[in-house]
Amino acid sequence: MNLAAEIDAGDGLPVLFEPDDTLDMFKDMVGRALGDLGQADWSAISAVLKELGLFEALLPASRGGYGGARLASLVCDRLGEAGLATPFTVSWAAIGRFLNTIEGSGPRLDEIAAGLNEGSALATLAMHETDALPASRDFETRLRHVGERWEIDICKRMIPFAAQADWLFVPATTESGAAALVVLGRDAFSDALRPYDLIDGTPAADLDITGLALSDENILLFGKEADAALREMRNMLCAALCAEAVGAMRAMVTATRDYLGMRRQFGQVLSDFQALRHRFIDMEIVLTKAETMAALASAAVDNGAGGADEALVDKCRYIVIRSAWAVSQEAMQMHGAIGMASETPLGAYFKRLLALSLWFGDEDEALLAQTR
Amino acid sequence: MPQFASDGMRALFTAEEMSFRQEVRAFVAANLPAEIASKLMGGLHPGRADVETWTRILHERGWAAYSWPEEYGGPGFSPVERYIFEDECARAGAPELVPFGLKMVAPVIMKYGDDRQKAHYLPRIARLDDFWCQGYSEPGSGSDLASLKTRAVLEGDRYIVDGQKVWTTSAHEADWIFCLVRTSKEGKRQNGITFLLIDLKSPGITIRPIITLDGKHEINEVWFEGVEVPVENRVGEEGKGWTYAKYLLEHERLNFGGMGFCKRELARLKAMAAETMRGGRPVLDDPGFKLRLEALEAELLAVDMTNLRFLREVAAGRENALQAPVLKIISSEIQQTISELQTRALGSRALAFNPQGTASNTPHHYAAENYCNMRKTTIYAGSNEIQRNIAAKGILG
Ligand SMILES: Cc1cc2nc3c(=O)[nH]c(=O)nc-3n(C[C@H](O)[C@H](O)[C@H](O)COP(=O)(O)OP(=O)(O)OC[C@H]3O[C@@H](n4cnc5c(N)ncnc54)[C@H](O)[C@@H]3O)c2cc1C
Repeated sequence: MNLAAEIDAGDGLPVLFEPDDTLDMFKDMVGRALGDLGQADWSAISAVLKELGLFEALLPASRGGYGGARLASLVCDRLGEAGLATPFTVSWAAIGRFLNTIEGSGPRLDEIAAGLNEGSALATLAMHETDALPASRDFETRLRHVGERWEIDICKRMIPFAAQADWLFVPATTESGAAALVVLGRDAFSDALRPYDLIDGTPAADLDITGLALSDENILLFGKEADAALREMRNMLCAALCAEAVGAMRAMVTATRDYLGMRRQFGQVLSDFQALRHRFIDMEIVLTKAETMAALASAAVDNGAGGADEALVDKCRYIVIRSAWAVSQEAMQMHGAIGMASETPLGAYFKRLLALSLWFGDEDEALLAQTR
Repeated sequence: MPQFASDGMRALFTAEEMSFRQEVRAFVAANLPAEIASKLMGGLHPGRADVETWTRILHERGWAAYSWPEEYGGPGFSPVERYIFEDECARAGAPELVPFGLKMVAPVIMKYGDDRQKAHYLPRIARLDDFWCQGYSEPGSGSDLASLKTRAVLEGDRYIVDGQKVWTTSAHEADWIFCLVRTSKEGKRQNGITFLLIDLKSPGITIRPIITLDGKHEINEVWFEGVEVPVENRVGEEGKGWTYAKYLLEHERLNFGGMGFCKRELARLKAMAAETMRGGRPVLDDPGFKLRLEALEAELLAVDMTNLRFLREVAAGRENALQAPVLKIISSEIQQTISELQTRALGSRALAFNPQGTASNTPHHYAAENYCNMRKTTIYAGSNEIQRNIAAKGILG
């Protein structure tokens, strides 16, 4: 079955929290397909998503897709639940979705968008520099005019899936202090990458290049437009990471439920001990609120014609990240020693939630963001 | 200016205790090898060689078996002196001495072992000629330890041991393991348990690594297949192992402090926060972080001082049902909180993965790895849920 064909593009999405058969079906299909795959690499995962018609479904409504951040988040949720850290989040949910909203902005962007929409190309975004938080302005990465040409000095850290990416989106600051968004093809950066793995298995890389010559094609946006584009991608990424975190939390809650029902000590299953029953229900409560807020975050992104309501996204992020720490710690505790063994999947979820929680700063940061 | 209340407040320590602290501090400063200290100050875990080196240095001074009474070659420290000793050593970056030998099997041998066992094992434990590990837990027996199944059958002058232990810390580095084994299935299950000392080189023992989520090889599975253990390796009587294990719990009830380690990690936390930038300024100046750090310091002070209070109470014979479980709970939780805040301080900079025991050529604080590793503290040594059950039973009946 092809999802894009199933979706009535004219209708758009139902209001949030309205149970919807199409979305449910979509969730089930993606979840089942990913569940069948197990720990696969990205090419296998993207082949499955492609077969489901997912990349078409992610197109804007004007082009026959479902388009919304909510749909992208739904996929992220399922990826998170399946324990998969994939480039989908940055490449399709954040960058692809953004490019589709500014369709027709030039041949280079259209070329990149086409590759992403086919599920063949992969793009990533360099968000972190020296600071622990991703930079949103005053980048250390500098774009300079040298005679007739542009040159860029890049210093970026922890670029996710950099070694796999065909395109690298690089936020930079010009000599006049304005923001600029630069894109590089893989030939321009791949040799200079210093790759390593993150604690959740995500491949990442640092990148320092001095005096890289650029052509006009490399420079996508300047000033306010660049700012707006970065904000848009960042907000979507926040919503997508929230969705992934909720998926991973759900997997941990499910694993804990199953384990409490199975593990026997003192002649009874652990789920007979009232102390643990209450603790488990507290996990469900935390998860439920996080699910609500993750959904709200992607709705906020969909809603934001003039940019998402960032205060709202930050509130959602606060709740989700707080929940991620709580659920991962509680699930680990209730499993006892076996949860710490790397042969069991629990530890991988624990680390995934840690990475998701720290990408944009912890929950304190989500609160402080609005006071800065 | 002392950095912590426990360093020098006059109301907290006697003059003798204060001068004892100075003596220990000076000794550690002069004798702890710098490469070991810098390793631990960088967040790395010590290896067997580091622990050996430090144990031998302390042994020369007569302090290796610092928790033992004089009659067995210990220095006969009071509980508060032991606290001070651990505090000074850990804060200077000294590795923890092997607890399985010094603090677990040795007191059992002292109390229930025969003369030959005392003469043979105790000096070897003190010098770390033998590195011990603890074989209690089994796949089916964690919190409910008395259900253990590893079987030992007496045949002539030896036991034949078959079964499996699991989560065994350091078995891969150890020479000996002390085990609780089942010698009878009759009657009350606690009465069929026996305490055996087993040489890990015995034929029939297989040790398999368990890698934990932080990527470290710290714990193991230990399999026993027809392992022959001379009957003289049994401590005390057959079927009394549970009593001995319980004695150990009670004897060492106030062992789980780790306050010196906490203070060392707190200092590391501050260093991490000072060097990491968040939103354009050092994390140490970030209002959100500052609040958490202040709260943590208050919390650590409360735990540390409660620890000291319990030691004084117990030394004065005022034991109660709360002390041991409460100390285990609050000490383990504060250790976790510190490692969590270290990870939060580094934020995204904590995420590059660098498991303990693998070479690293970049500066790395091991904060996230240690945060993952420290989840163990509320699980092992009687999980915190079990501690709450014990405390509740003691108070509510
Ligand atoms: C890193 C590490 C090192 C270890 N090293 C050693 C070692 O060297 N030697 C050794 O013998 N063992 C060792 N252990 C094992 C440790 O002692 C056990 O993990 C512990 O006893 C808990 O048992 P379990 O893991 O089987 O959890 P379980 O007993 O299965 O418990 C699972 C969860 O249920 C809770 N629970 C169980 N019963 C109750 C109850 N009645 N009421 C409320 N909650 C309950 C527990 O607290 C826990 O949260 C180690 C464990 C770890 C993690």
